[in-house]
Order: sequence, then C-alpha cells, then structure tokens
Amino acid sequence: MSQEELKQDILDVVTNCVKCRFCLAVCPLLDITKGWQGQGASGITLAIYTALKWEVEREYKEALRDLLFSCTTCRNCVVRCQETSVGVDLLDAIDKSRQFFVEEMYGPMPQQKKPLEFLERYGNPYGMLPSERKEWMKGLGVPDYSEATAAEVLLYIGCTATHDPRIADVARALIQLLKAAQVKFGILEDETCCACPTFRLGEQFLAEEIVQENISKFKSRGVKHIVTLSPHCFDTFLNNYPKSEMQGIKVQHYSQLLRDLIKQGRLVLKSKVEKKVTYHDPCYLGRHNDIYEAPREVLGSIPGIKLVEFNRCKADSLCCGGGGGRMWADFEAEEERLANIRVREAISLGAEVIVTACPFCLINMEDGVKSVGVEDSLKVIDIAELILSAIEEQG
Amino acid sequence: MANSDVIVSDLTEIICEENVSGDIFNRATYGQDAFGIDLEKSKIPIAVVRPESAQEVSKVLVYANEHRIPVYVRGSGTAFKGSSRPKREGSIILSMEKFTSFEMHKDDMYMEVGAGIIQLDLEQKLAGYGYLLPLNVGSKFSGTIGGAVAVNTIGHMVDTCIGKTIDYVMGIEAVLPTGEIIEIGTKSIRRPAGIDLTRFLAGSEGIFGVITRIRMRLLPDQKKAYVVGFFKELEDIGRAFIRIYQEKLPPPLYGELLSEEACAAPFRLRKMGKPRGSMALATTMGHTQDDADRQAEEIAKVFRTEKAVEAYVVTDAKEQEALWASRDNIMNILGVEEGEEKLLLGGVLECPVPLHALPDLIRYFRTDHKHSILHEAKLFVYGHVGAADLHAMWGVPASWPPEKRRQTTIEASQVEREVYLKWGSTSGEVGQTALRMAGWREMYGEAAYAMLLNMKRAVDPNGILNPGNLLEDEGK
Repeated sequence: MSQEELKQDILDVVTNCVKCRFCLAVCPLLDITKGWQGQGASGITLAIYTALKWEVEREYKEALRDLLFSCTTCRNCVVRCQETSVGVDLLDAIDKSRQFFVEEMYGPMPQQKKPLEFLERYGNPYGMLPSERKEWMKGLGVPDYSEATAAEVLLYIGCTATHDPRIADVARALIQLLKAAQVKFGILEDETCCACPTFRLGEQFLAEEIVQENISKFKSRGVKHIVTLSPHCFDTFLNNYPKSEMQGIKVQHYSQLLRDLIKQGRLVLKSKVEKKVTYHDPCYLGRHNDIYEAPREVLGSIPGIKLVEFNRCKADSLCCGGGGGRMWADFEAEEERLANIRVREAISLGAEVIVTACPFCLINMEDGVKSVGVEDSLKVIDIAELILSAIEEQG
Repeated sequence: MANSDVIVSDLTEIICEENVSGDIFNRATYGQDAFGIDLEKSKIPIAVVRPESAQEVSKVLVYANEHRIPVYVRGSGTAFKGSSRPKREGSIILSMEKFTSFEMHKDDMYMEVGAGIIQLDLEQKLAGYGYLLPLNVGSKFSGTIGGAVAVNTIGHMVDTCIGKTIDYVMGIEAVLPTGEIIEIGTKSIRRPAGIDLTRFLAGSEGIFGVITRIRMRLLPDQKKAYVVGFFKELEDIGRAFIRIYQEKLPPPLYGELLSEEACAAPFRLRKMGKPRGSMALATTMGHTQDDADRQAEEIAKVFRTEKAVEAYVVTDAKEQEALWASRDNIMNILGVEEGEEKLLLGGVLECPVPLHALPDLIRYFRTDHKHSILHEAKLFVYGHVGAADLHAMWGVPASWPPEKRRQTTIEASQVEREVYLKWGSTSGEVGQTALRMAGWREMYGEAAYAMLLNMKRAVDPNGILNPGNLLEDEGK
C-alpha cells in the first residue's frame, strides 16, 4: 500500500468518529498522564487526523510520535465505541498511523528502535543469539516439533520466556502440565519471534518477512495445532497472519488447552489452594479475542480457591501497560504506571494473589507489587503455575 | 491582543501550570465538538485551561477581559450545534473537567456537585443512595452535569412526568463574565418565589456566566416497570402516545420510539434478530411495584389499541437491558455488517411539536420536506415520543463526496428550522444558540432578539464569554 493510500485509509477511519468522547473515560492513558483529552483514545486519533488533514505532521512530528506510540493498544476504546457509539475502529487507525509514521521515519520511539534492529538481526527483540535462546530449556527433554516425533501440539514459547528467567519458570510449569496430561507436544528448536512487535510498532515490511518464514516452518513440519504461551503471539497468529496461509492450523492460548485437559480429566486437580485470588484479563486474550471464560473455568476447577473479580474486569479490564510495544519504551508524559493502579485495586479487594496468563502482564504486575511495596501481602502468579501447584501432591 | 505565547505564559501565572496547555493537538481536540463539520483551522484556540476553583475561573475571565480574549466554556464538547466550539480566532477554551466535587445532603434532600462531574458517574453515585438522576442524556458517558444544566436538558426522560433539569436546580455558584463570583438560590426545598436568578443561568447556554457548582434537589428512585410495543406503522406510535395523554394516564418516565430502520443495527449488535416493526418503549414509575406494573399494563393496552402488532410488559431483565440499550446507545445505528457500505453521520435534528402533530412530523421527515439530498440519504427516526420530541438522523454513504455530506448537514438544519416555524416549537433538548440562533431570531423576532442581546451586554460588556453564539458581536 502506498503512503498516499495509507494516509487516505487513516483519514477514512477517523472521519467516522463523531467526537462523542465516550471512549475517553475508558482509556487507561488518562489514568496515568495529566489527563488532557488529547492524551488518549479519540484524542490521539483526532491528533493524527488534524495533522494529516492540515499537513502539519512534519512540524509536530515528535509530539505526534509520542502520542501515537504511547497507546497501549488495549482496545478499550474500540469496545466502548462499538457498544455505545458508532463503532469506529480507532485501533485500526492507530496501527495504520504507526505504519505511516515509521515509513516517514518519524517513528517509533527511539528506545523502540533497538528491539526492531534485534528482530531483524537475531529474530527476537531481546538481542539473544540462537544458542542463548535455548539455554532456559536445558534438561527439560522437550523434543523438536516434527511429524516424525509424533507430536500433536506445537508449543510456541515466545521470545519473552527465553529471555526472562521469571517467564521461563512459567514455561517450565506449562511443560510439566503438558507432560502430566500426556500431551504429545514439541517446540521449534529454531523458534523465532511471531512478529508481534513489528506489527505493533508499524514495521510492516519486517513483519511480513517474519510471517513468511514462520509459515514455511509450520508448513514444512506439518503443524496442525499451535498452543502459545503468550496472548500476544496468539493474537498475532490469529489476526495478523494471512488467514489463507493459516488454514487448517488450530491456534490456542494455553489457558484454553488447560481448560480442555481439565474437562477431559487428563489433568486432575486434587490439592487445595486456599487463597483469595483475582484474575487480571490480558488485553490480547480478552478484548482482542473475547477469551474471558477459559481462564476462569480453569481457576474455578481448583479446589479451595476463592476468586474475587476486579471491579474493572473482562471487557472493562484495565491494561497492565505492556501492550502496543510499550515494553520497550518509557513516556515522559506518564506520571504513574498502570500496573501500580492494578496492584492497588487488588489490595483493595483483599486478594492475596493476582493471577494472570500473559508474560507482559506478569512482569509488569510483579514490578507493580514491588513499586507499591506490598511484596509481603500480594503475589503475582501465572495460571499455569497455579494449576501445577494444584496437581502436585501436598507433602 | 497579546500574542499566543505571551497569553499561554500569562495563563500559567494565573492558574496552575499543569492545567494550561498550548499544545497544538490538545488545542485541536478541545476546539472540536460533536457538530458534524470540522472546525476551521483559523479557529483553533490558542490555549486550553482547566481551572480547579471558581477563583481560578474568575482570574481567567478578568485576564480575558483585560486583553479582550474570547473564552469558550466547555464541559465535554458533546454539543451537536456547535455551542462549545470557538467562533472567534485567538480564543481560550475553559474546560470544566476538574470540577468533580460531590457532596450529599440527603437529610435536606439535595446534593452539591461540581459542574464538571460526568453524568454517568453522578448517576452511579446517586444510585448508591437510592436516588435517581433526573436526566438521561444520550451523551451521559462523557457529558457533564454542568453542560446538562446550562442547556437544561433531560434527554430520554419525560418532562411531564418528572419536570426538567431546571426544576431540580436549587442553587448555583457561577462566575460572571467580568469575573465576579456569585452564589444564588436556596438551601430549602421550597423554591424562591419571584426573582430566582438561578433561572437566568440554568438554561443560559453559558451566555451569562460560567456555572461552577450546582445544588440539585434529590429525586428518590421508585419501582419501575417496562413496556415494549412493535408497530407496523411508525405513525401509530405517535398516535399511541397521544392517546396516553388523552386518556389522562400518568405520563411515563421514559417514552421512546425507534423506526424499524433505526432498530436494525442495534438489534444485530445485541443478537436480538430482526425487529418486528418500529419499536416503542415506555418505563413507568410507582411507589410500589404493583403501581408501576399497573401503569405499564395500561400503556401496553394503549399500544394494542393503536395497532401494535405486539405489546407486552417486559419482565426479563436481560431482554429489558438489551431493548433499552438499543435505544440509549442510538449511535449504534451507524454500525454496519460485513458487506454493507459504511454510513457516516450526515445530519441530525431534534424537533418537538405539539402532541397532535406527532404523526405529521414523522411524515414530514419521511416524505413531505423538499430537500433533495436528504431524500437520497438513509433516514432513521427515533426519539422522545413521550415528550413529543423526535430526532431524525440521515446517514450518508462513506463514498459520498465531503461536500455532499456537508450539504446533508445543512439541509437537516433547514428541516429543523422549518418544523419549528410550522408547528411553533423550539429545541427541547439541545439548546437554542450557536447554529440555531438564526432560527431563534426569525421565530421570535427582532424585539426578543434585542432583549437577549441587551441582557448579554449588561453582564458581558466586552463580549468575551462564548462570543458568536448569539450571532452578532455581543460586546457593547
């Protein structure tokens, strides 16, 4: 698509906005900035519209870039607009604007350039060499996925688990669960990024290259069923990969597989977990893909557990702040972190544990717990870890 | 007039620096409101300020008078007729968003609220105490209470049942255009007899001052019952509501209609299938459930008498929520299904008429007006039939050229004006100034217009507060 076509596409989307501002009340950016209406939701898209229409995008490129790349892409504005107004896909305008501004060399944020360079060079946004990427799984005995190994499921680990020791723990817990349930699974020993950061940061050309590489890997190995650890990989496979190329490949988030395994009796939860927990809906599982019930069904099957819901839950859930490429950038305009707000909300519910199902949410929430200073009273656990503790015999 | 940078810098001396913005994108965002046509570039304000107290508002207005700077007051900018957008170059937007205080005085049957509190937040707070916010405006997700009081609107509620917003206003704190702070009204549920200055500010659309705090009477919530009727002919819904009044039934709290075309997309969104015709909704209110139910049954009976193909009291909470949400979130009608061409908002109008004229008004929207572009656009009729106040909205295909869309907006305004003159009515919901002022002037004549302008000049000698909303230069 040419720049002119892209520009017209952006204007077409934003022209549909009736400026009712219903989206502002649910935009998380207004919770952490000074709350100017120009700093969130339709304020951002109106800024883009204004800049493109009056052709002042060059004059104010830095201000525009900071606004555009600050969006968490949590999709709360889109849901609010669909339910209460004309149903404009503001996020579509934001995605396209990021592509447009990257092509014009105005974006992304300076700190976000490094992960994109790493992606191009090493196939992951953290700059790990392929050999380093395998470190975390030493001794686990997980086979490389191929039809020859008789694996049924490709477990797609994602980059963050291979880089961050805390998320590697989660991946190990999930692997133990799959083994316990006797799932025939494998991983890609040469796994690279799913391309999520490139899509979110507007690097369309690099994104397309990565997508093609991954699709050939899936095809050459006869992959029929992918289970992802991260909702971001899950969403990318489902919504950014060409549907025609992914035909015949079932894509699941692991919370859906765990739910199925529990229902089938392949995972038996016998140990009580007597904790008051609250579940934090990751944006890319919930609002982006409507998966609210699978993780709750999984939690509901743990004996002894008490689930309390956040006031803002399911489609209203507050973003942790990690989406949209924000794991790689800080924004001057922000005075608070969303995860800190979420942690305070959990404390006010009297929860002992925040359970989540996303690497970024887990990292951000754990930082939030430290930042708020409640390490003694509140833990952050991934749903796989919680299930593992429920299948293990207490001793 | 001082230059823009100096003004922004001066404003940061007057009120807290973090509440002053000269940022281009903030200025563009705050300059726009919900009126369909984009603000001209030259009218982008030079600064946005968010004062936190009446004293800060006062300082801004004194400064604006000194330098003859136009000031536009803004709640959330949800106005459809351009009242909160700048009409003069080099203006300041005064946003009331920081005025969010809430004090409950339930023993004295009132609350005191900051003008910037969002209506939905207020509705939820009051519900916690068992009180009903006496207004239900379509834009309540972002609209402020100050905006609703300034326009004197109750949206989807019926005046003849509970009165209008102004009837609940017991007191007002306001800043006059020249900067003086006044507190007027009473703390008694007994309204002042004779001169009551609150009436000059509630419904003044920001012409006479900036409302900062409002004392409002509480309305105890009651038991409710819900009626739905589906009709083959939209005009029959008009006749049904005329009959409700003729039979001297208690007017319902809520009486709305949606044409079959207007029901389609909201029904699809809520997975309710195809509508069984045009839809009428009524909410009744009683001190006991029996009382509310009895009124609802009577309305259902009236619906059937006026040829409803189906009419019943809705008892299933989920069904009720979905049906009422279809009306309350009316902008859903511009939502599309895959394969359909996207419709954009072309023009929207609001027309109260004498009760007897409801069926004629519907015919006027559909066939009788003479505006050719509107006849090409897709018409949706909906609105407050219980208050004899209907909306028409014209959706235009996204493929239409912008100029044709703009023409739709203009023609819709012309139809509105024609209706007011034809039936002797005026806006019951959205207000009279800005885009509607020419029609107001035509309808009431030069003497009434001069009276309004003279009143304005008496309190705003330099014409700095919302100038242009009364058309002419308001300064002396």
